[in-house]
Parts: sequence; structure tokens; C-alpha cells
Amino acid sequence: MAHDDTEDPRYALELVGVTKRYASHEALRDISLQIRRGTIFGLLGPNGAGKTTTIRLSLNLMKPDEGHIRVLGERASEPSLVNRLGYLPEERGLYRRMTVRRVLRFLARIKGVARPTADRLIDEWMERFGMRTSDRDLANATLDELSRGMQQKIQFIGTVLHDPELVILDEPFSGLDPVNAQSVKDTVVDLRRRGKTVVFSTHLMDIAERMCDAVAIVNRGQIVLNGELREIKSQYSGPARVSVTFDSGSVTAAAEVLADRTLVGQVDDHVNQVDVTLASGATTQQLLERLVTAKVGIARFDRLETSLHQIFLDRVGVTGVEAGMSGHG
Amino acid sequence: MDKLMAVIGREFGERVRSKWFVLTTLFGPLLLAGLLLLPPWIAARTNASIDPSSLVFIDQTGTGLGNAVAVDVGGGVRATATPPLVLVATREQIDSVVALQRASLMSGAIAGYLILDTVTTAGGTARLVLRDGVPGAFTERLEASLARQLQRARLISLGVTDENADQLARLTVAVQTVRLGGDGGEASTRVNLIFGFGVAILLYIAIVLYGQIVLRSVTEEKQSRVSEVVLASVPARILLAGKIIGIGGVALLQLGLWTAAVVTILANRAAIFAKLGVQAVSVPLPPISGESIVLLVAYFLLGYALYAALFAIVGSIATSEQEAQQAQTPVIMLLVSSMALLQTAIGNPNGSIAQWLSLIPFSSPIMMPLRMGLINVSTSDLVVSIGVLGLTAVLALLMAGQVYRTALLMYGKRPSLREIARWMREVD
Repeated sequence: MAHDDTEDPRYALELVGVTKRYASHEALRDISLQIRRGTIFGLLGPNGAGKTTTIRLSLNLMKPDEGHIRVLGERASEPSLVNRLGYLPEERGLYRRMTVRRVLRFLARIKGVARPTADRLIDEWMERFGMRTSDRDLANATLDELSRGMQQKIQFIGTVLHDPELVILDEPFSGLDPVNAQSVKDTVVDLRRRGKTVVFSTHLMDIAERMCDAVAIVNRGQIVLNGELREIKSQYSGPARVSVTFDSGSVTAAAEVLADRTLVGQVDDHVNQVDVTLASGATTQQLLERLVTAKVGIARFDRLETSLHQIFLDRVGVTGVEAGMSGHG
Repeated sequence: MDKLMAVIGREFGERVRSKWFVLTTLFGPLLLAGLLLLPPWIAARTNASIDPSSLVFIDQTGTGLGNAVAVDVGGGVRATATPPLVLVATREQIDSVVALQRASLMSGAIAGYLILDTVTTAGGTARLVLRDGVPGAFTERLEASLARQLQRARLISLGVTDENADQLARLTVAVQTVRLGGDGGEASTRVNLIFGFGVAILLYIAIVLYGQIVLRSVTEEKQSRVSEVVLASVPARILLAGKIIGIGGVALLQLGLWTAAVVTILANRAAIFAKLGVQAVSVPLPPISGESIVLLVAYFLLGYALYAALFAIVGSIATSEQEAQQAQTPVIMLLVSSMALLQTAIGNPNGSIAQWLSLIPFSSPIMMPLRMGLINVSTSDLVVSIGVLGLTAVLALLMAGQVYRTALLMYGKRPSLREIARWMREVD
């Protein structure tokens, strides 16, 4: 096959020209994506953008109508792949009447892990997540007896128990309290440290911004932004933004400088501190020089980094926010 | 293979461990034991409430009829019982003897008295006076004994020797119908009818019961969203196969235990009744050849597989438990229609309706075992029937596997028939 030539060992996941249609609409339109091995990749976008479809296609749970997908260097339909993948679906659920140990043992066995190994791994992970201590072992409780947060952690353990090379998490942080969310984040970072690839979808921009090496933003079945987070930010060509905090009494002295339309585009005034968006063509250096010349007392002068949220708003527009995007989380 | 075993192990292990399984497995034999043992036991207990030794026979015939009947009734079936007391009275004494016994009966000293007089010898009627109700079985026994003794007396009066009269009077008749099997073995047709009917009903119940378990299992997996996790590790057809095999294993285990319990009870029926102080005869178990057992198991397994596949399709396309209950109606109708025609098939097991029904795969798992119990089905009929059933089951399983993969991941809406047809055509 022609696309076999495109195989690249650097990538854990490659989608090339993938289109998926449902009876009533086109879920994905000609998307291409490459995810490097050993990285954390964020799949961002509003609800219904096509994130879950992208994930399900990558896991061979569905077939694309057009295009092809390679996972860990193999065709996505290669049966032996499943044991090397871990998947946490957005819609969570386990066998509620089974005990934790039997559920996890089952999930491990269908990933090709032998029972004794599975039992050892279950103990390790349960200890790590604080569910197995000297006075209690929740492995013997049924899922029904556990809180929702605990059930989510069990499901997360089931996803990574067999030590997969590629872990795909669909909205892993939704429904988790901050403490549990932190333990999941720690595990994700640890997986990356051990050379695994983690792909997760989220609508929480700040989590993606803090954790991901690379991101793709999906909107209405198309990829609107894709690449290394650092590159995305450096290539972002919007006007620079600066936050300036004044010494007390220097605000009036600064007013003249800030009123110069050739230098300053927009000012967000917080009394002793202002967020300045520079006019096009102006540089932060020029602004600093002018303020110093005007003898303005400056307590802090920070270059504001463009947030992913900002970039997303620029690319997708406010409609994305309306449909469930969030810059916080 | 490991994955299939893991799925089978989960389905089988979880179910066998469940309270539901333990309860129904124990409750089944208890219910059957109750059905098999209680009615005769209760009947026997009711009979025993009339103890022959607590009766008094007043004999005014002057022929010794009272003594003869007393020995007959007291000895007869229940050899341990003491025969009733016999009071021989003349025509003059009779009224006072009866009055005396009446008083004894009122005071509860005796359970009843029987008057045998010239009316009895002439017309065969006798009067039994009791305090409590009339147990039918006892009166029947008394009547039979009276008839026998009167007949004997008449034979003697006609000049037949005592010994010959005894023999003639004891003559009883019964028609036993016997069916000659293909292998030359004989079997009672009545037992065969009960057996064939029993097996058909049992197969029907088992297919509905375990088919429903497959349906619920699929719906539950879809509702709880577990299926998505599992499908990411196991191909849909392996998941489906594991589920059907695992639940089928539970079915075989449970049916096996139930059958063993029934056979044990029936084989030891007489001994069990003896322990309970009730005399009863053993019911002969129909002779079943090894081939018949293999065929019956094959019909159950194939019938179960066919219906389980259909139930799995219904379960995977339904979006809720309630919807699944409604959507299964067509499948249930297929099964019920064979049951509705069961009577017709029993009436004429070689008729064209019965023949067709034992070839159509949706009814053959119930009809063919029934016919096998009633008549000798030709080998060619069996081969065609099993072949058609097997093929249909495989086809249904393949279709179910195709639908399963797509339908399990559709949560929001129920797919249209056209969509389902499209999934069936999709290739891996």
C-alpha cells in the first residue's frame, strides 16, 4: 500500500486525510495529524467538534470513510495493537457488581496480561492511588460500594495497568476533584517520563497549556491549529502584551506615554497596574524606554505570554466558547 | 484465544458466583421435588387418615363376606395394618348392633362402620358410615374388594371350587401401550409423551431464560458504557462469542444440576416415599440412548445460540432497558408461536405441521425433541433439521457480531433498520 511508505518511527499516531461521515453529518473532514512518540498531546475543541470520533478511529473502534491511520507504526486495524494501547473513554463505566480486583484482573487479561502479573500490578497501583493501605484494601470492594471519584480512579488504573505504549484519555479530568485530578496529572507526567505517549482530549485550555508538548484544536470536524505548543505561541503573530505595575504616584506620569496611539493600542487599567496591548509596529523595548524617559517609577514590567485560550479565541471565534469551551479548570 | 477465555471466564464466573444462580439452582430441584413428591404424599396422608383397624364391619349376610373383605382391605396394599373388627349379626340383632356402633362412632371410639347385609349380597350396595369426609381412594379400594368377594361368593354358589373362585375373582386388567424403538428397545408411550413434552417445555424455558440473560447482559454493558472499554481490547465478535458461550455454560451447568436432581428423585421415588411412611411404586425412567442425549443437547445449544444472537442484536441496538424489553417482542413471538402449535404437534406428531415445524430453525429446537419423544424420526429428517438450525445459528451469530460492533457505541438514538442492514454488510 502506498501509505506504508509514509511510516515514520518517530510517530505514535498518524492520521492522514481522514474523513468520517455519520448518517446525518460529516464528523471529520480530511484531517491529518502526527503525534510524536514520548510526548503528551492535547486534543482540544468544543463539544461535538470531533475529538471523540478522532479517538475512536485511532483505536479502530470505527473505520474511517477516507484516509488512513497508523498507530505505533502499524495500521490501526492491526489486531496485535490493542495490547499496546490504553484507553479511557469519555463515557465511563465498569461492571458495577464485580469487585475491584476482578474488574481490573479482567481488564488486564483482555490486554494479554497473565493473572499473577495482573494481581501484582493491581496491588501496586491501588497502593499508589491510596486505595490499598495497611488497614484497608478496596480491591475487595465491589464497584457499587465506591464513590464516583474512586470509580474513576479504578477506571484510570484499568487504562494503564498493562503498561501501554500509547495511552489515549478522553476528557480524563472531567468529574474528578482537584486531589484526584492531581494524581491523574502526576501519572500522566510520569508516563511521559518513562517514554510513553499520552494523548488526551479536553476542553480545559489551561490544563492543556500546562501539560502538553503539542496540541491540536479541532472545530467542526476540522483541525484549525496543530503543532508544538512553543511553536504555536512563538508563531502567533498578534500584538505583544505587557503588564506594568507602577510605584505609587507614578500613574499620572505614565498617562501621557500610554495615550500615544503610535505606541499603545489598548490599555486595560487596574489603577496601579495596567495591561497594555501594543500598537502594531511598536515593541516592548520602545515602551520601556519611553516610560523610563518620562521618569515613571516602575515596580514590575512583564511581557504577557499569549494564552492558548487567547489563540483559540482568535482562531475559532467566540462560538467555541459558547459551545462549551473553557479557559479555566 | 486468551481474550475469549477471559470473556467466557468473566461471564461464567460472575454469574455462577451470583446469588441469583445459587438461589435458582437450589430452588429448581426443590420446586421439582415438591411437584413430584408432594401430591402423592398428601394423597397418601389423606388415605392414611382412615385406618382400617379403626373401622368396624357389621356383617349380617351370613356368608362370611365381612371377614373376607376385612382381610382384603386390611392386608391388601398396606400389609402392616390390622384388619377391621368384624361383628357378625343376625337379622334380629342388627338394629341394636348398629345403634351400639353408632354410639361408639359418636364418642370417637371408632372411625366408622360398614354395614353388609342381604342388600349387599343381592345388589352389591353397602353402607359406610363415617365421622369425617370420604377419602375417594379408600372407597375405591373397598368397592374393588367387595366386588371381588361377591364375585367369588357367586362363583362358589355356582359350584366352582374355592381355589378357582379365588383365582377368577382376582383377575384384573390393564392396557399398557408400548412403543417399539428403532433400536428394538421398548418404551411406554405414556412415559414417552410426558418425557417429550417435558423436554420441549424445558428447552423452551431454558432458551427464553438464558436468551433473556444474554439480552440483559448486553443492555447492561451498553448502558454502563463498559462495552467501549472492552471493545477497545477485544473484537466485537469475540466479546459476543464469549458472552454467549459463558452464559451457555451457566445454562448447561444449571440444567445439568436440575436434570440430575430430577433423575435422582424419580429413581429413588419409592425409597423416599418409604422413608416418609408412604407406599408408592417407582416410575420407570424412559430408556434414553446416548445418541438421543447428544441430539437433545445439540438442539438446546444450537437453539440457544440462535436466539441468544437475536437477543444480542436487540440488546445492542436498544438505548435503554425499557426499550430492549419492547424491542425483544418479535424474538419472543418466534418462540411463543412454536409453543402455541405444540398441542397440534402432539396430536399428530407425523403430520405436515409437526414436520415443518421441526425443520424451521426457529421452532425446531422445541419441536424436534418433542417428536423424538413421540415417534421414531427418520435420520434424514434429523440431519436436515440440525443442519438448517446450525446454519441459521451461525448466520445469526455472524450478523450479530457485525451489528454489535457499531451499535454498542451508539448511545443517543436507536438505529433504523436500513442502518442495521448497512452495518451487516460492512466488512472488517
